[in-house]
Amino acid sequence: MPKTTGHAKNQGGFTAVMRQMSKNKAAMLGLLILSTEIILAILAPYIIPYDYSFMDMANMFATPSFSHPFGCDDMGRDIFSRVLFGARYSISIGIIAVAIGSVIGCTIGAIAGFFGGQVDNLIMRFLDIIQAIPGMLLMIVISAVLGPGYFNTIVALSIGSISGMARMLRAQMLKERENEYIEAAQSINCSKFRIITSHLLPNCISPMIVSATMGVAQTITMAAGLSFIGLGVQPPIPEWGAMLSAARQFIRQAPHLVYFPGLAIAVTVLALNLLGDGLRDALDPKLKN
Amino acid sequence: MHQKEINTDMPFLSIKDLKVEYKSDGQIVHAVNDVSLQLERGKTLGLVGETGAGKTTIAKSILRILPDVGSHIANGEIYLEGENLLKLTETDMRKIRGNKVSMIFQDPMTALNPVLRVGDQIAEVVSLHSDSNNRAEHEKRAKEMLEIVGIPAERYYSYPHQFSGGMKQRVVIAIALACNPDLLLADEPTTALDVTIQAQVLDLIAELRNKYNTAMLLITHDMGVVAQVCDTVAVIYAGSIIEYGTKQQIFKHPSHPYTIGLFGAIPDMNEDEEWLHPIDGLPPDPTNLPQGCSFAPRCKFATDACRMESVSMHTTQDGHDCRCCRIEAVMKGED
Amino acid sequence: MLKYVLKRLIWMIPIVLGVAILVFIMMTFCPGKPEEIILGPSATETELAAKRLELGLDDPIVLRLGRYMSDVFIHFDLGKSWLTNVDITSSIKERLPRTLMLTITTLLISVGIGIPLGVIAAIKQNKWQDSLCMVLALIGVAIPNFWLALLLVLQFSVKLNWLPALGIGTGLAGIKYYILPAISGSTGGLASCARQTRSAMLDVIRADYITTARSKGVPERDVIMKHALKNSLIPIITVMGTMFGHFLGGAMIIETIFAIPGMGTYIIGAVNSRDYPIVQGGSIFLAITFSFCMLIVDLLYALVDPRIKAQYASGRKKRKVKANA
Repeated sequence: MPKTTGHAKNQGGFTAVMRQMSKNKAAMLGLLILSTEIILAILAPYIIPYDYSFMDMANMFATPSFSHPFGCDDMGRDIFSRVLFGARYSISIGIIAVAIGSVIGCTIGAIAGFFGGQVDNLIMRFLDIIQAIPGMLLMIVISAVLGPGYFNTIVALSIGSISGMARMLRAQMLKERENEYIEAAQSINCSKFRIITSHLLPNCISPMIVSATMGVAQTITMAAGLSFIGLGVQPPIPEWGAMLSAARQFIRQAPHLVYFPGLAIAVTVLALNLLGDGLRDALDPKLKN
Repeated sequence: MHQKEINTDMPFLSIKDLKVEYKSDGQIVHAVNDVSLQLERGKTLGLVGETGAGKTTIAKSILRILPDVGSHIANGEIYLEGENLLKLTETDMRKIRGNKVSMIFQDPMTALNPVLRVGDQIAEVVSLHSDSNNRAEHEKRAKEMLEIVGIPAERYYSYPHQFSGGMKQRVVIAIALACNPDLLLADEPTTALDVTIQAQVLDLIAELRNKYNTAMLLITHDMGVVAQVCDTVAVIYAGSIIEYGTKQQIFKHPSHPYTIGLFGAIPDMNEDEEWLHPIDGLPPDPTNLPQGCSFAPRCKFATDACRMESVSMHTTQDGHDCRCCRIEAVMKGED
Repeated sequence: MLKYVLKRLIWMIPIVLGVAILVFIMMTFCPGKPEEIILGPSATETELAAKRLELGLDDPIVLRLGRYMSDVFIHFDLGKSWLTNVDITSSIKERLPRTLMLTITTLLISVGIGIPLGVIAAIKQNKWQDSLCMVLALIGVAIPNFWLALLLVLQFSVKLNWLPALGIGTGLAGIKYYILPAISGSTGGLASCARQTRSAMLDVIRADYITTARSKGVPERDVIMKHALKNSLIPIITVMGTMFGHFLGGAMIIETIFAIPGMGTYIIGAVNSRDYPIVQGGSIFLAITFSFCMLIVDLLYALVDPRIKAQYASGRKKRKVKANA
């Protein structure tokens, strides 16, 4: 059924979504874990018990204890502090890369979806080419060009998330474009830019929000993966993937080096996925109205 | 082996006090309330009522194919040739489905499996109830059935999406009749079809029923179809049978206000009328049925007694059943 | 149908060309001078200049691109490694099968465990089996593959010594070298597969033709396997396609951890040692492999759903089909 009114459902939309989601215990758990992590990450420099690069060779490979809850690594550094500090990098990379990728991706997708025809074709062919290269490989190649480092990694991961976002928004656009309220807006000489920004985009936002949340999870994992193989963020910065890479050589004598950074990644990704699922469930039935 | 209680002086199909409930969003939907019906071999019972009145639920209860999640036969017995179907094991019930009792569904567009060949879907029911494992035999029977319902046998190898709605419904009929069932449950078999096809399909069903002496429970909301095909009629409202008799009795002397309203709502070709005469109001909420007679809120003959106490079956002048305590008043047209 | 396959293959050509161009251009921005990488730190100025001339590195980029494209696509010559001077095409011929072996094994594990889990979750909707499967799926998606790899190596190689941690073997015994790598790579895909199967089955189970099947007396097991599952395959196959992409990408890291001499170690090694022709050639080859897999996925759709087969044959191509329409 074509829709005849399209005015953005966002008045009171946010509170309604939040209320719906609050009934979903798993999603709220995810939100709780994520918020806790973000707060801890922001406060990290002030709350870590030891400086993340402080080496105490006497405690080399120390197993978890009261003073060192996660133990110490090969250079006597406190793993708990390092994991906590590392959260700043992983989480910020995830959020920023997805934010940039979403903005650019949505713009491209909106243009392709709205104008259709040759413009759409051209954009889609270009996206096809980028997506023909399997995701991680593309990240590796881009990282090869840019080199390792915090900002370079963000750029590489942003580029990676562009095509997914663009495709998704384009699909939404194509669906929404058929609605009558768009015809109505055009008939009163509404500028194309206004139609896209004020009418179409607000109604396409919901699946994008879910996708972005899941995207952050995926990006965090990819960033850790890149760091793991020597690209991404490198030591001495305690990025979780880099920590795992270093832990590899000591796997026989000190397995506890392996447990905690990986656990941190897993918990973060889990929280984001729970949140994303909850958002999807809360947004979807609302859309059906 | 369980003891079969076969009661030979019962009618072919006998439903007693059937009560079916659905659970939905924490509420209980009273879909079927204390329904009792009978059907003789070879005869056709028309089950008439609006959408949502509970007709399909009754049919599905006979076959015990109500959805697993949420539905519940709360009470009642369904005797087929003296055997209570509700007490059979699932294995025994499977032997009956498609074989002794089969069903034709309302929407032919979605009743067939899109990824299986049409002929294979007919052959499936044959092979399920056949003693032999001979695939060729089953295929042959399936092709026979296709011809019987008027579809060339070569179309065995087609897929459902290559058939029109009418043809799909014929396939559904072929599946239902492939094993010569004793009882056919036809759930609004022509509602989803074009008018021209409706007549053809009805004729087909009637012809096959006569040929094989199949008893039929025909669910419909179309009185014209009832007139054409049925021997007895049961009118159902809000999950209860409110009037029940032979076709002649119901058509000549409709006694329940609802039944009268149904007939009155049919536009008369011979009269020059400006307005339709629908029945005022809406059917009651099945999660919250009225205390007394379920039709009372819409009935212009309703008294306080109607609204307070539940109504049992009364007998009309010509001997058929009617669930109304004001039959005489209704007949005279007094409020 | 043949027409459709041909059309798709022809479509692949501009995409592969595009990938080659894209990767070539990206590599020109990479740090390091090719002649220095090839000749090493001890080369003299004259040697370096001679090498530059030999490789035509001062020519305009369009010319260099043209030369590269003609080398790759007309002569099928991907060049030689800058460091070892070994022909890249022959190295890829050796390594690609190993990567494919890993990827396919991973796919089989994901699908082989994922689909049954999803079916169970759908049949026992909202009961404890469903919750358990979905929790396992959530955990599976959250655990990073490389971490799981390390944990598995820790448990099964270091502590129990049941399975090898590194390298590959020959013949049938060589399969045990792929077990840990395949398991660590499969968790994400397994989880996606299970969730997709569950959701598709739940949709399909409500369909009318399932009621028809039951009314025929079809035993419940066949209702699920023969009628419901076959109709749920479309979204599952779609997910398998995306999974394959993730597995190919993930293989890069998994191979590195397990020292499997496949495309992953080849390319990552090349990135770290700045041996860019390998990165170029390897990427192009993997892109081709991936595109072929997408084609196979689309053909699988036709195998499973006769409506899609009809669409392909008639020349129209639809991107998405509802499983229970």
